[in-house]
Amino acid sequence: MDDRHHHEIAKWERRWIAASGLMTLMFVILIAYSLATEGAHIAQLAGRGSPQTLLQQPLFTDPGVRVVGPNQLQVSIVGQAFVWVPETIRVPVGSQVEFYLTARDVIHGWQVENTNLNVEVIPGEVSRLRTTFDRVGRYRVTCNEYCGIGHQNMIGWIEVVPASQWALDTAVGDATVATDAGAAVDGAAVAGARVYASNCAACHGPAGAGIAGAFPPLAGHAAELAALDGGRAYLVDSLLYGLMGQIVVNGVTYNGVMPAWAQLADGDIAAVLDHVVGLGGPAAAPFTAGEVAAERGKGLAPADVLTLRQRVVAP
Amino acid sequence: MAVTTVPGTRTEAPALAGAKRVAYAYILTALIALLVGALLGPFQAWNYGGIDLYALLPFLKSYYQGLTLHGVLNALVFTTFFNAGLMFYLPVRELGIKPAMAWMWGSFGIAIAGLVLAGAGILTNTSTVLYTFYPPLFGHWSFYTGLALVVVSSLMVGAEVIRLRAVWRRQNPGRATPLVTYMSVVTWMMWMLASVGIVVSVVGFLIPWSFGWLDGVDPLLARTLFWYTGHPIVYFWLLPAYISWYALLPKQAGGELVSDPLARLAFLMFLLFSVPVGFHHQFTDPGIPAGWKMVHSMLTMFVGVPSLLTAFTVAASLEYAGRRNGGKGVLGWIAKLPWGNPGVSAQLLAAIAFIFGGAGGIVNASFNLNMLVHNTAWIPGHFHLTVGTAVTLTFFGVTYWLLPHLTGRPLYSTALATWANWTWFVGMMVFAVGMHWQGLLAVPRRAYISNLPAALSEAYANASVPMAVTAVSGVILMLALIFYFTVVFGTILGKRRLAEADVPQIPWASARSYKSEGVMRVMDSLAVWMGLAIFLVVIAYLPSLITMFADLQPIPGFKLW
Repeated sequence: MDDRHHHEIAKWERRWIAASGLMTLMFVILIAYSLATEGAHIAQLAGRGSPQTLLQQPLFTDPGVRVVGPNQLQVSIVGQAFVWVPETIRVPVGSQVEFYLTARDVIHGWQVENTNLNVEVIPGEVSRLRTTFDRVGRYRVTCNEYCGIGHQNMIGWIEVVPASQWALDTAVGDATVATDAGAAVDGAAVAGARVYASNCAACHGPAGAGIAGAFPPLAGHAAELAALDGGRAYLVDSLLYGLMGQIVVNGVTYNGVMPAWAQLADGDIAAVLDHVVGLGGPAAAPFTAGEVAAERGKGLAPADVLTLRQRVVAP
Repeated sequence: MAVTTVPGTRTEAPALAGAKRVAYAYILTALIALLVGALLGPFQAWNYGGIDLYALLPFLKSYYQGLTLHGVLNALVFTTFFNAGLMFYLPVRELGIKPAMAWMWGSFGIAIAGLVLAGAGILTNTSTVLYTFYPPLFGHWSFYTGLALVVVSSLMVGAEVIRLRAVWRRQNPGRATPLVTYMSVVTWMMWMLASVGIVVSVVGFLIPWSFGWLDGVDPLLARTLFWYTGHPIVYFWLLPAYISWYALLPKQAGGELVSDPLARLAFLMFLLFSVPVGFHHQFTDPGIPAGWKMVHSMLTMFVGVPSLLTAFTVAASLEYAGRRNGGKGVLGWIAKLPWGNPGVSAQLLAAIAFIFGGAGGIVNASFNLNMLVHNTAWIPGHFHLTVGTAVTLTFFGVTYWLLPHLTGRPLYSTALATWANWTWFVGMMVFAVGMHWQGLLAVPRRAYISNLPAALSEAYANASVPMAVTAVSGVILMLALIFYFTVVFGTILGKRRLAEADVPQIPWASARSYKSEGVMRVMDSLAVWMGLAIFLVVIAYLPSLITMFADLQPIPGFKLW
């Protein structure tokens, strides 16, 4: 390479370095500007503590939508394996929405399609972010942080509806719940299968066979438990409060965690228990919503449910 | 004054035969890890095409177990072992100094022990925690211990290379470190600084926790320590490829490196700016204040500059080669590059892919834009262009001369190697289009979306076109794997041996240096630059880490797979 050639390269080299530096600087300025002018959707820390403490805060004991002012909503959401609680959120278009999120077990990631809403939902942390939905529509909410075997099923929805329709829905209150109850009467078996498929099948398998060593089988085992003294109450409690610690099923040891499913309606819990008990053969006497309601309010911990189990299955 | 440097001892010395064997051991293990991990890749691509073929892999308990195996073997094992081999062997040959062989075989033994332990954790489905292993997902102690041993082994190799440079400097007072050794030593120093995070996290928290000595681990702290290492680790993967682009490719293409000092400057910038940038992987973490995220976003932009310098210098060196080969006009030189040499075409295609990978990286590093793509399919789309193509395809290109060089056996097939390059390149580009596009439609990364319950089967209906694109890439990449590994095994298991004179030598490129001796001396004062790098890391991380350590929130483990 001759010197003239090399000087030519050196000249362009200097220009290239200057252009690279300038471009980088411009990016930094643009990023800072955009966040300074419209950065409310960036999640901020709004609380730290043990997950148990955080979940006992009023925000999270009954997660969902609250009206806090004219055109202002507060929405609280709990992420847990493998569901967003509540699964569907309905807000009026154009309202200012403040979200609060926390996790019950492992890390989840909450993302709303077609928006800039994206936050790591970490156990032990409460995060807060604000937004306004400008367009009516049904937005898919995904879990974008791997949380276990049913991660892909952890999908929720935000329904942004016209303000007039939202006011109407809110006025009729529990209309949706009433419909669900009707459906349960129509076909408890159908409802049980539906609840099972969307909440339980990810771990315990579509037919309740489980995964040896990781998730215990339900087919057959649930029917055995239901037949034991105190077994029915134990089954209800394991859904309402979860279960934690070492158990043995059919000679295989499991040492995992069953999350609590208290957010399911009493009727749904009864229906899914019928489904699970029925997986092993003929159904026993159907569970009733009243049977579930009687167990609510006991305030058990997952470890208490383990003790209960040991009492039920004791030889 | 123009100087063309041709570094030190490059003749084959019998004393260096041992170095060849240990390098071969590392490279071969790396390629086997790549083979096993990459064979699972197409199944993941098909998953993102909505096609569930996991029934064909009965040894896997789940998609997620396969994904853990794929990520660990390809991103952690393949890269670390290949780097240990390449960034050890090249400096040793450049300096011509006999390394401490017992130490090197010790490091290899530790690396293999680590690989076996981590592999056992994954294959028994006790550690399906993916290669990010965020607590409170609770893996087996063998998994964490295995990973720690792999890191330790790489640090041992780095320490040996740094020692060899010190020996050379004592023997050659007043001379600047030869270029490849310089780049390797800077990379190893950067990795030593970078690995502190993962070592503290794994040794200080995850291993004691997995043995039951700790009740819980703070997930935010663990994430922060992971990404302290997790971003610079991508430069640890990338810089060996840069070494090949700067110091070997110009020779293979028929030219020379147009600027030795600019190459050194780029590596120094990587030493300074690779590490204090990890928060750009945590833009959506509420526990880190926005101001600090902005600082890291800015520093990440700075770390783009040395890659832009590399783009200039490598392109200028290639243009020079192309014109020497008779290329005319603004772009005519490109056609005159030796595309028929698979060792060259692999690296040219790798560099083209990296243009798109780098552009996507700037999007990821932008605090505001990141919100749209964080943890979506966009991210695997991005890093399959960078580590999956720029790095991997460059390593393909390196093996085409390195395997014959190390084994004395001829390359199995030039034609098949060329096919491997092009199918890998096209496959990865198609994959990247599909995945980036899916990411913009908010399809999450790492999700078994081909096996959704009936009620959710239409959840990603709006992404059906990019999903089909991704599925096609799986087929092309499966072909690429077959082509490449036929070449690899055909070469190393071949019966024919090359005559001594026909064994390919290391394609050292000569390099142009215009800068004064003073500039070289300043750049050679690596201890000072390392001090500056540590200083930047302390500024960027210490305040946040103090806050986190002062408010630990241990969370018990969960095994949810």
